[in-house]
Amino acid sequence: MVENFQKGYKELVEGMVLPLSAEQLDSGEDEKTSLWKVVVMAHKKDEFINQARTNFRILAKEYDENEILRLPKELKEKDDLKKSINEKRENLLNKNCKAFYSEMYHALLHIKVLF
Amino acid sequence: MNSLDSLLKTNDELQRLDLEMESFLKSLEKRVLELQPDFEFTVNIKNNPYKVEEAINTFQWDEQKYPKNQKTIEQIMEKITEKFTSTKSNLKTKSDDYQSECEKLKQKMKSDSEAASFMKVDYREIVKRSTQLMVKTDYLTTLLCFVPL
Repeated sequence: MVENFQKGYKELVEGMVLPLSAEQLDSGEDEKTSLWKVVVMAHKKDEFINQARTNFRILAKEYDENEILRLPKELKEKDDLKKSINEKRENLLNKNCKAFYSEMYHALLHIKVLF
Repeated sequence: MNSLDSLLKTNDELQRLDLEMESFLKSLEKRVLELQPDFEFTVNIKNNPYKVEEAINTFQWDEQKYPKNQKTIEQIMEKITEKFTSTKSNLKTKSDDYQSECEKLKQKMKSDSEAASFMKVDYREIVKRSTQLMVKTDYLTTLLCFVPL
């Protein structure tokens, strides 16, 4: 598929794809998919995406700089949230629930003997 | 007649409280064990933790907490009811807070699962290394192509 793509990407939208613009970005991280970039005329991008899907069964999407810029912040936020969840879980179980259970069980025993 | 009425009322109240507290403890037990299967439940008596069975077998009325020599059964029940109500609402606040954090994380994970639908690894990490190759002008744009091997 990679060879077909390399040979054919320029013809997907006649005259609207920048020749020699296809470049592989990954270094074999995924054994099933490789990631490439191509440069096309902006007003024909949707046509390229459709043609790539129909002719090569290739998924294409426009590069979004914000998506990449947001990444470190997103990762940090997720990491912080995970830490906070773990902390809250630990507190909830080993502090709150333990104390609530103990207190209520003790009180229930008193109720039981009142019968 | 009045005292018989109040005795019956107290008895009803006791039954209601007994049922409610027991079902609260059962559901708390279930929820805690779902989060941590090896959780050990203990009952603190005078600052010493006892296993539940021990607490039942060695039960003694706690005169400090519930002074039955000075207070009526109604007053003791009232105190227990108050504690029960505040415990329930306290637990609800804490567990709601925990749940909302989990929900937030779930939402954040959505963008990950979107990214994962393209490639097993997060393609954004790969693109990050090559941002200098990306062209975006008024007339030209860069498309990312996920080519099956």
